[in-house]
Amino acid sequence: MREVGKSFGGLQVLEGISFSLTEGSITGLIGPNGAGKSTLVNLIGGADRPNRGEIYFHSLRVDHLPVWRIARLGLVRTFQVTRIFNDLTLRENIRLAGWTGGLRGRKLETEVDGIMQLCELETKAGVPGRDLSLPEQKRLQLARALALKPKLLLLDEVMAGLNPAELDRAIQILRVLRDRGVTMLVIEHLMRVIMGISDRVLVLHQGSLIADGPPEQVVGLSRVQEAYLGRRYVQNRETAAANGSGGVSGC
Amino acid sequence: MHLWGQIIVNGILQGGVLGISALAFSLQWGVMDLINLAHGSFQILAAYLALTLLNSLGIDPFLSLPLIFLLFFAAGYLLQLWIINRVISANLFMTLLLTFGMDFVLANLMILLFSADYKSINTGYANASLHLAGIELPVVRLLALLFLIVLSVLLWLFLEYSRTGRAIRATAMERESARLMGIKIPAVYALTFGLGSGLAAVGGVFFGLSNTFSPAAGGPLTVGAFVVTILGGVGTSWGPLAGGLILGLLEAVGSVVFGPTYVNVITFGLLLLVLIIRPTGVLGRAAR
Amino acid sequence: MSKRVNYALFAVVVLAALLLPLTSNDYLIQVATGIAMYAALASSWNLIGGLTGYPSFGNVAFFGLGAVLAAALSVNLHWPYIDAALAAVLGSGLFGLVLGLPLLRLRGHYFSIATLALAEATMAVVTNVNFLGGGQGFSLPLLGSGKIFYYLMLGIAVLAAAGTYLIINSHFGNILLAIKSDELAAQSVGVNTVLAKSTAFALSAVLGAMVGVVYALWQSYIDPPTVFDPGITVFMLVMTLMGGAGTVAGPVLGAVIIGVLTQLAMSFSKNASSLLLGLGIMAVVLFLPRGILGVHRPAKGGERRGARPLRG
Repeated sequence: MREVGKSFGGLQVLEGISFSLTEGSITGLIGPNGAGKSTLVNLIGGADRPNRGEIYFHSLRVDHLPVWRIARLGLVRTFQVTRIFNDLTLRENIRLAGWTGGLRGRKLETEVDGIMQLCELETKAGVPGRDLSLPEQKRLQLARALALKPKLLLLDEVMAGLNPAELDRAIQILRVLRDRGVTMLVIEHLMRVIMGISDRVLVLHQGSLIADGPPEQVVGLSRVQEAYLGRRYVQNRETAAANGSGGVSGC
Repeated sequence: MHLWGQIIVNGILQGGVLGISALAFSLQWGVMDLINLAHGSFQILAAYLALTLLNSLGIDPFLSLPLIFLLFFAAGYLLQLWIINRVISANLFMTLLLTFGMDFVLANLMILLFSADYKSINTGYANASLHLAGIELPVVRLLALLFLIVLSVLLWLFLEYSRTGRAIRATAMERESARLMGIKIPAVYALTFGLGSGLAAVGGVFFGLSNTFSPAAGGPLTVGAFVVTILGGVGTSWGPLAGGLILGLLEAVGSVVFGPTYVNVITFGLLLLVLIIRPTGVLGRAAR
Repeated sequence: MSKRVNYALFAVVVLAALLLPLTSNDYLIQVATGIAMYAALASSWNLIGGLTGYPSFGNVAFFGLGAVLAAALSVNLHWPYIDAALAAVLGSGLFGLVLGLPLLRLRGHYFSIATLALAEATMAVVTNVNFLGGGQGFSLPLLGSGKIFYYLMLGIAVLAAAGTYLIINSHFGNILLAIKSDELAAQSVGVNTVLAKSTAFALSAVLGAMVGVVYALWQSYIDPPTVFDPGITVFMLVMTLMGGAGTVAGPVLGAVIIGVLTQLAMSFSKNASSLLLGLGIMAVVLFLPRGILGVHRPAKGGERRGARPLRG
């Protein structure tokens, strides 16, 4: 993972975004609704093309490659609104990804079994995509992404809508993946998740990157709090802090 | 050159007939994402109705036009409310198939009722023409163009400024949001289909006045409406007028330059080209 | 139904079809030839329309092109018909592959219209090229008894059904179904969707052209309005949807039902029969939106969404 530098216009959803990801790390991407997080994922994943700027994966420029080529390079994404194959069974969903990932025959089946086990989906192998529950669909999306043997995973709100127990399981899976050396860019609204697993946090606000650093440090920045909570809140809090009374605990 | 003047005028006037036929088709497609394969048969049925009223009761087609419009409006309204609404939110194939079935029923019903022979509406003015600077202007076609322009303006005003029109446009843009805002979607759809059917009938009467027709003429009319709608852009009030004029002119000029047998090569070649390069039509909204 | 029952059923149907000419009733054989022909055509449509989810309205282009090319090569260049047929089938397949690339970028209604325009444009071009018979068409030598053509059409229909079965149970079939479910998601798991769709379109074209090649010889006279009739595409579509889109047996079942019903009603009056057919189609849409086989097979193939009344 060398350098993802990026800037583009059109509706000016994103502007002058530049960053690079360290191999084997988890980077959290946060920002209020409409900040351009999903657009950024669409650009990196190739579903949309930037008007300006360049995106590199290792040393290969990817911003003009078709989506399927990017996926085969190991740059794999999930979707905010789950997009699974309704007409295929869960197993076929995963197997399809493993096949395009280059696996065949016995190896493919073993890999699919392993992934289903990791994501705790083995009991649902024969169920058609449309009959899966939402948490199952979310995990299937992740499982399908894993079958492609990703080097970089773009996870777009894979945990939204999960209950606490499901959330813990999902976080567990991400940790296992990091230990296997998968680089991840995680978009999430839940601060608890981001703070818990990220090595580094990027904050996107109105199309620009306004903060970049370790999670504890980023959350402390007043411009980040402003972006999330509004200027008034931060001012009040600063006044309160100056007066010696404790601030409201954030998020 | 009178020849070329005449050719251009013929093209423009043919554009009027094509455009008025596509008005309803474009509206239904734009608002409901519905392609009405029975569109042409609706039009031919209206032409037969006008012919019957003229022959048996002696009512001039221009006098019966409002009546036919209302009749088709009511029929279309009920058809949408009772039948098409049942499947319109399903897969795209289903509405295609349903309207195809309707087309089959209508076309064959007309053969049984009126025979498969060619008919024409013989009014005193059916073949009358004005002459202007040596150029011949068939009255009926001139009126068709005029009606098309007037109806386009009325439709635009209705969609833009009336309460109901705005509900229709809101539904066309975002059905679910419109529903949440309290718009009764089935009613809006029924209204749209009714309006479309009425407009189709008006186009059909003009087609009947300017051409000979038989129950089999519905298919080509539907295909023509397809082409005009795509050329002009789906779901715009001015699309049918623009698309009609483009197609009419191209056909008229093309048939002189390349020969009449090449008209279809031009028409469909152009349609393919437009679809590949700019699928939203010449005047259509920017591609999503 | 289990696999074994399916195989047995398939064997029984094929056997019955093979034995049908024993009746040596010319009328019956002619009707059966037509049904076999439409079963093959509907199966060819099913590959692109049913499995891949691209509602083509122009598949008649491949049928017509196959017929016209084969006739042109054999009449004008005096090729043996079998060579002409092979060239026509390959040519039509290539035509489908090359045109699939730009057309399959369109979705939904736009794809439907583009394919309709493709068929009409192909007919218009053929009408203007003398080598391809122009507006006159071709007369081909009369050949043998009707039984030959029955077996030929039946052969193509069996090939089409078997091919569909193999595709549905292959990785390629999964790719097509994935495209139908969600094309962007399919790309995101590394599927070259353009290639897959174009391949499906080309396979559909090859099957359609095979039928066209046989049709030309069967009828011994062809002209553009007959072999490029858009109604032929519509029949492929209706039969497939009636039987069950995305299934192996659906298109065949649809062809048999519509073929038999048309003949039955025809004995009363041609127009009354068409009128009944129209009502039948409407009834299927309203009451059997997933097709006859789709009802029992909600899992694989079939339609994604059945008919739901509109909420308001």
